[in-house]
Amino acid sequence: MSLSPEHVLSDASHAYLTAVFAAEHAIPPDPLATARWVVGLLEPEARRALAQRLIMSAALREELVTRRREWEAYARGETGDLAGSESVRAVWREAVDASVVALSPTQSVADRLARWGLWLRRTLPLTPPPTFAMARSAARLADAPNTLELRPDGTLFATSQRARSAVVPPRLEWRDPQGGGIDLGEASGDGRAWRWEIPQFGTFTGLRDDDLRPDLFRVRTAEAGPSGHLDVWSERADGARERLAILPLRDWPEVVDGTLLLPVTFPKGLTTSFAEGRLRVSLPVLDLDVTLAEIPVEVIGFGPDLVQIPVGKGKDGKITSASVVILTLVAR
Amino acid sequence: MITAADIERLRGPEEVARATFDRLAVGLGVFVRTLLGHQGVSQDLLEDVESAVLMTVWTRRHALEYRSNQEWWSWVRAATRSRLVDELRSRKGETFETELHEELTVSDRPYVDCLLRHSVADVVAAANEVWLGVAPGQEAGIVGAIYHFSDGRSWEEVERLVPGLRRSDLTHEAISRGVVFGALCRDQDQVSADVLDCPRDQVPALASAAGRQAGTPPAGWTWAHIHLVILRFRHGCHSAQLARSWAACQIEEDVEGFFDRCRARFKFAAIARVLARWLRTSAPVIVTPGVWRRLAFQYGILEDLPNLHVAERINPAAQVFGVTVTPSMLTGWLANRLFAQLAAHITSQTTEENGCP
Repeated sequence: MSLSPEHVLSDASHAYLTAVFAAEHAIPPDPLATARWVVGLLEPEARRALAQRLIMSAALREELVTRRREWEAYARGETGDLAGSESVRAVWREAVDASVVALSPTQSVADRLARWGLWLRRTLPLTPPPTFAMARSAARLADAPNTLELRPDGTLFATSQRARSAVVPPRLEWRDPQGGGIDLGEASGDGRAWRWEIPQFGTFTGLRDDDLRPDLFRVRTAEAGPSGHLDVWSERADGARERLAILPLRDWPEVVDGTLLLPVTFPKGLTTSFAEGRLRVSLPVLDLDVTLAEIPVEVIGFGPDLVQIPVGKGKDGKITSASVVILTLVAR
Repeated sequence: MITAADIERLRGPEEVARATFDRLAVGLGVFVRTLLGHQGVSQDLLEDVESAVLMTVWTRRHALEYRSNQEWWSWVRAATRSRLVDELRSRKGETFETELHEELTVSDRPYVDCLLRHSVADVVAAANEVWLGVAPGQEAGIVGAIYHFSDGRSWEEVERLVPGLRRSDLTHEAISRGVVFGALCRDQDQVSADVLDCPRDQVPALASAAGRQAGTPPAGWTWAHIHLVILRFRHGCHSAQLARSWAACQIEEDVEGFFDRCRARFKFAAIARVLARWLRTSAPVIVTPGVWRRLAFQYGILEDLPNLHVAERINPAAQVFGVTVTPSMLTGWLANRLFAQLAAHITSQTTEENGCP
């Protein structure tokens, strides 16, 4: 049915509609909404509704700034004056729960993509791309797909003509730069051109077409085990008081009976600097690291060890990605 | 938009119900005041009806059933009508002619139904699309651009406040129009704070203190003057209501002279000058009549301010851009076609999405 923009409503209808919209506009937004916004937990529709409010309200924009500062303080482990920020505490719990759930190896690809997308978005700008990375045709990357396209509705299309000899349709995997990856699905078509169509890839990851690089993907023709572990990323000074070293894992993380098992390796040369330090296990949530646990080094020693973190909601299984948690040594 | 979950919480345990009711009561109060205010109901009668409607919702919360947003507001409208009749009967002799007794015109029904099927966010989105040219998905960009260009926050901070935003997102004209609108959109508390020259968050306390005449007023003010500022700029009271309060306050001063001095403290023009410098030569392209219409919708509908108040909020900024919004223009914009325009737009969008011709 078409409605005419020239229709003149009666005064009663106009007053009724004005009353309804003025009333709905006056109802304050859910206090958790701004807190969810800053940690990226708002559903797209709610996020859009809040964005509308933020455009109209300087006060709400100020509130968002406050929530963000509280969130950053919380992520730093500052638990001082948080009066009035119950929403941050509540959403903090939601964010950690959502991330931990997404850690689960049996969780849907969508959930894991969502978390990994967040991780990649904050990490990729910091790591210089490999020399081949910016080339849209992956001529020099043997196991990358030939074409990639992310459509406006978020669907990822990929094709490959490389795995011609494959009898079983190959699988497309989103590569973890630190080893492993997330399986995106089996190809359709035949050896002349394998095709993948991954709905909502852009929606879940937050990536866009111009983010796509062939080196982020791998066409896998057979089951592959761990394809390499971390080296020490960096050892850097964070001010005068805190030195950090981000540690490698020697095998995939695993969830067993609701406990996250992290086979950590302590590279040589760090033992002196961090002898009295702490091992911090954190979860990347949006652009902040949420600390899951801090364990004194003296408790675990510097030998090969299995760090155990209770995660509650996880299901059993190996997580074939090395980027799901960040292990950091913090010097005293 | 009132949801099934809201009604479910209202029917739930008292603590949950109370928190939900407190939140919804803000909207219910505005609904009753706006609806009856448009009918010319006196202030004291209006307040009594508002209390009675709130009491009705609270006492009947266990029997409430949610079917749709339309039905919810239809029920609240009916409850408002009943409580108005009750109040008039109890006042013996006081009569009042109200259109609330009448059903809505049949020809208006499709428009009313279309708009009430959607949330206020959808209707605001339609208003942004129609008058600012903002496409779905550009809202976060506008928020980021306001933080950066209008509030002066660094780009690094903006990226943290609006996750996923990129600078290249901000190059669209619609974003610039959104920034102009957002920067000039100041709610009643903010406008009152501008007049009283105090932080926005102090306004509720000042309003309360002025009502009680408690303590020492801020330097240069009397509680009576602050009370009038609150009535005029925070509550958007009409001239007739103000005249009664003015007389009660026994202030020996010209009313309009006082409010002229108040209006001289508005920050709309100063903000517009900053925006004009930011937009430079593109200002004529960006600042189309749509921006002023969107502001008129904001102040005239969503905040239900009288036309005079809408004009005094829009004109200082419009004049910086060489535009004058005359009372007749404003009356035309806020006339009853405005909702029809939004309903027609929403319907055409829905038709397109469904693939219908």
